[in-house]
Amino acid sequence: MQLNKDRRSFIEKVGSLIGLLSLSYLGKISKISLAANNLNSTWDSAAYNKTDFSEALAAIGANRVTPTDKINLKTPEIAENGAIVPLEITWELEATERIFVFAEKNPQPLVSDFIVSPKIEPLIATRIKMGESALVHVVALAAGSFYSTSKEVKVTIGGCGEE
Amino acid sequence: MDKSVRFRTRLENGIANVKILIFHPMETGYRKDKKTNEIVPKHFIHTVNVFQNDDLVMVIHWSRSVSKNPYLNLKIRDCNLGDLIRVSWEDNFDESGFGEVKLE
Repeated sequence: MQLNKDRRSFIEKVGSLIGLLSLSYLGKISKISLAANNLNSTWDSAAYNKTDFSEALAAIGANRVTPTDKINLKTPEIAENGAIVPLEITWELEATERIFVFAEKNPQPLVSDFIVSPKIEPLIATRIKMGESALVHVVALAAGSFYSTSKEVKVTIGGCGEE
Repeated sequence: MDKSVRFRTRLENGIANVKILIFHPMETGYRKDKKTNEIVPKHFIHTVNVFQNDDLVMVIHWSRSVSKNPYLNLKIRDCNLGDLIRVSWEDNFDESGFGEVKLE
């Protein structure tokens, strides 16, 4: 295996970067969104620890959310295993900066957030756990405003106490 | 580089379709160990950074509600053959991992 100089220096850089909580690199994107919307771009423990959906929404600054058909959420209607619920999110909103995912009835409803640079095509897929049947909400921050779409997912076996 | 991150990539018309699998238990803190009957402490990745070469293109925050061995699919614009897609992650035990793949 060939380790060229660039690559090695990058790996060293990443090592120190991780040590520094990736702050310098994070800054590149976070400064933009911080200026635009005052959101904290590090892991937001206040929002992630909220046990109520509307409180979690308020914690990310989404006091007014407009339902839209410009976000598309693809999920199975019935998830037999709540430990693995696949989600695919696509969007057509201009200037989308951030995508949040909530499972309304999970012990902590905020599941994930994605800070997207303009280099990202409007598609994200991931897999989440759901404790019980609930609405899954995708909230997008685009040009300073919040938009959302929601979908009910029926869960046969809850996934929070399982692997 | 460690073995915690696995990639599948495809480059088409300058867009890299990147599928990422990270090996991690993603413990919720609610699960009981069947042998000891004790609660397994919560242990989850909270931050993932995705780079194209040296540029950060996406930051992802996760909670313990993300499935074990998290999967992620994203697409990056303006990619070229030979570009490196790099991923670093950190969890709530201050453990971290890194992986990279060259676009072919």
